[in-house]
Amino acid sequence: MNILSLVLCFWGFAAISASMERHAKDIFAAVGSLRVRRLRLLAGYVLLALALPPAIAVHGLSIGIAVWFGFLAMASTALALVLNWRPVILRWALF
Amino acid sequence: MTTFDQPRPLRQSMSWLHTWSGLLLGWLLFAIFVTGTLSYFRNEITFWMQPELHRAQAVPPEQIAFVRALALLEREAPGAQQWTLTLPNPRNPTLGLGWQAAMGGERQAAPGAARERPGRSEARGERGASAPDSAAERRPFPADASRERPGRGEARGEDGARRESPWRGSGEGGAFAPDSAERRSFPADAARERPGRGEARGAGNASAPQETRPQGSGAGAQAQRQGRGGGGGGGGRGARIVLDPVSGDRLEGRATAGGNFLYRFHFELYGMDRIWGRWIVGIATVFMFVALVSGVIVHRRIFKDFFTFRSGKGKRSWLDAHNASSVLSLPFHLIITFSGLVLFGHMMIPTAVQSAYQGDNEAYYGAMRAPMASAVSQASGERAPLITGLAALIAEAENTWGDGKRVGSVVITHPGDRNAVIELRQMNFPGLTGGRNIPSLRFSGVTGEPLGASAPREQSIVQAVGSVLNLLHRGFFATPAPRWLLFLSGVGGALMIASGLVMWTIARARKTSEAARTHWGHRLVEVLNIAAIAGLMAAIAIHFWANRLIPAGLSARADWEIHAFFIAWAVMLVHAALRRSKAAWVEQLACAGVLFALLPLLNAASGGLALPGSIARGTGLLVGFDLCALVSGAGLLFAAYKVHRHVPRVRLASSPSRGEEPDPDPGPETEPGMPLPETMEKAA
Repeated sequence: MNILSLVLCFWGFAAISASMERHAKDIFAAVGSLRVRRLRLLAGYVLLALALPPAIAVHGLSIGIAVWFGFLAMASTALALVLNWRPVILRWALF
Repeated sequence: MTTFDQPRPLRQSMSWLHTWSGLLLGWLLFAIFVTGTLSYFRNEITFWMQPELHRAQAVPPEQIAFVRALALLEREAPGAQQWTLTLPNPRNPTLGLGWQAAMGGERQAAPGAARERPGRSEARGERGASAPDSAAERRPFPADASRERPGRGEARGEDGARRESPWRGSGEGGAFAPDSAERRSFPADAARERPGRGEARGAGNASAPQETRPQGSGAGAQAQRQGRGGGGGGGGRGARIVLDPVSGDRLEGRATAGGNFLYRFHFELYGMDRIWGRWIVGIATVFMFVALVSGVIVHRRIFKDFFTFRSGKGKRSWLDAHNASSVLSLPFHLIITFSGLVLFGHMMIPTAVQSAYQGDNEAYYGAMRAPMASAVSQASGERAPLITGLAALIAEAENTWGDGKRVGSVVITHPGDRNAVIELRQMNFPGLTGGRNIPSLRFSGVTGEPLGASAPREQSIVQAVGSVLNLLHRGFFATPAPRWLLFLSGVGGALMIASGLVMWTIARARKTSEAARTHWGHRLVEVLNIAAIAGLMAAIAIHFWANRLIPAGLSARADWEIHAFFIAWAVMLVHAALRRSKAAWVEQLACAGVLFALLPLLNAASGGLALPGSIARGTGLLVGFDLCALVSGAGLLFAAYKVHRHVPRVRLASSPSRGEEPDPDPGPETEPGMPLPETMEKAA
């Protein structure tokens, strides 16, 4: 469940990053239409929200929320590194 | 650079504020962050530092040698009012025994002793010296010692005395009772958080009411109360005896400063009055908070650059790294800094104590440490054999709780009396919002019949908020996941500070390189950066080495572990001042890297359980320590290599790194990867 939550966080952030021009270009080699990017943004936020319940399921409400924040930090840091290193590998997980 | 008092736009003035609030105490903040981050694993560190205990194996309750343990307690502390058994758990596989003496006539005599010992001396250098003799005088009456002891201080003193090292003693709680100890010591820790003198006063405070009471059962109740609240509930105060849980054999761990030195250093420094130390750390925390808030204001494109990290672009990359490590863990940074301030709140802003308690600190601490409302049993005076089937009770309690809740400690009140009560306390906090209540179940010590659960203590909103912040700051969490997250976030925070410090020099590199000679201020910052970042890492490594190289029997050896740390740090400072900055970076990083990377070997060679053995036996905390040491060592060596290979493109900062980013895996010791002014990929 911890892993699930972490993966959802990463995936959510990846989608959000793909909604930003700069990163979209890095990942897909094209900026993409505004509509698609808005969709990615929305999907990203949904994924981040979905990462919360598993964390709460494992750790209980209060600690679960704290853990979720921790996962958000770790996932976004990892994503920033991936975006700098091989942004293309994010392609398969996004649309 | 402009002067500070000229008018300018908000962002610019914030930028000025950010730069200088960050720089001035940045070196100290880095040390606070690193040692504080390591403190999340202080139990593990202390355990690693006592190789004599490494071979204990955590076992489920039914395999624990309770009969032997109880027999030992009966022998060592026959008249005790309370015995505490801290069960093996993932953070410490040994079985810890502690006790609180019965009340006796000596009570009156002890307060004085208790009072002079307290926190104060403990935080200082002479503790080592003073502890032993007080031990001598106390030993004969283990009882009065614990009775008089109000807060942890006394307890620590005693333990310390026994081992000739207060640090060790104070580590006890942590060392012996991992989670449960921390938790248990929580109330007492509140006391600890208070400025130095407080500890002493706390002592007076706790014992005072007692002395005025008749010594009958009323006093007993008082003592009991005190034991739980003030004394940190017995378990936390620290076992005086450590057993192998399976065989019931006594284990004698060496005296060590343990992870506790790092822990205490991070909020009260060392070698000065602890009240001064806390004020300095408190002020640094304020600076940190100012730097965080102003940093957010300064950051022009906080959302646009959210995921941005570009390596190989010199100054740009350093800025990216600084931004990323700050922004991505911003919730952590804000919480940890703010809660740190709250922990110091009553010291730095004593208004509340003055108005609500008329300046009576004792009353305030008393209220903060109010014990859990748990029924107090009184001794009947009639002897009755204590049941020994603790495992069955534990199984019953764990069944009652369900949900994988485990018993962390067993507290037996009035052992040997007809009214003996066995209280089983949970190993972990159920959540952040329950305050200081640890669920527990009580059983008759003679018949084993259940007496119900402990009543949760009411807490006000203020207390609740305070305790949530406190719990978050200290990470009193059940499972490893949150602890690791806090640890990694702490690493991120250290990277943030380190990158900020390095940026200061990089941003000004051009100006100075144009000048024929480096400006002395620039050089000063450079030297301090090297010593505070790379030098600190090396000093921490030396601290661990000293733990194994100083003979186990040497008196005051725990103090020497600490001295080794500071001597090493001072040497690093001198070295940084004497060498060119690049050479100093390389040499110190390499030195720290080698020392860390060799720690697992040192561990194996000096009596510890070696890595293959700890993996085979599933002693996770040792595996974790050794692996972290390896990862940290590798990271530091890599950083050293990159600095070494780096050839500045221009005269100023050129290519930056990618290894410097807050990499989620590396131990906290990796941060020095950051500080390399220029590095990595391109340059290499």
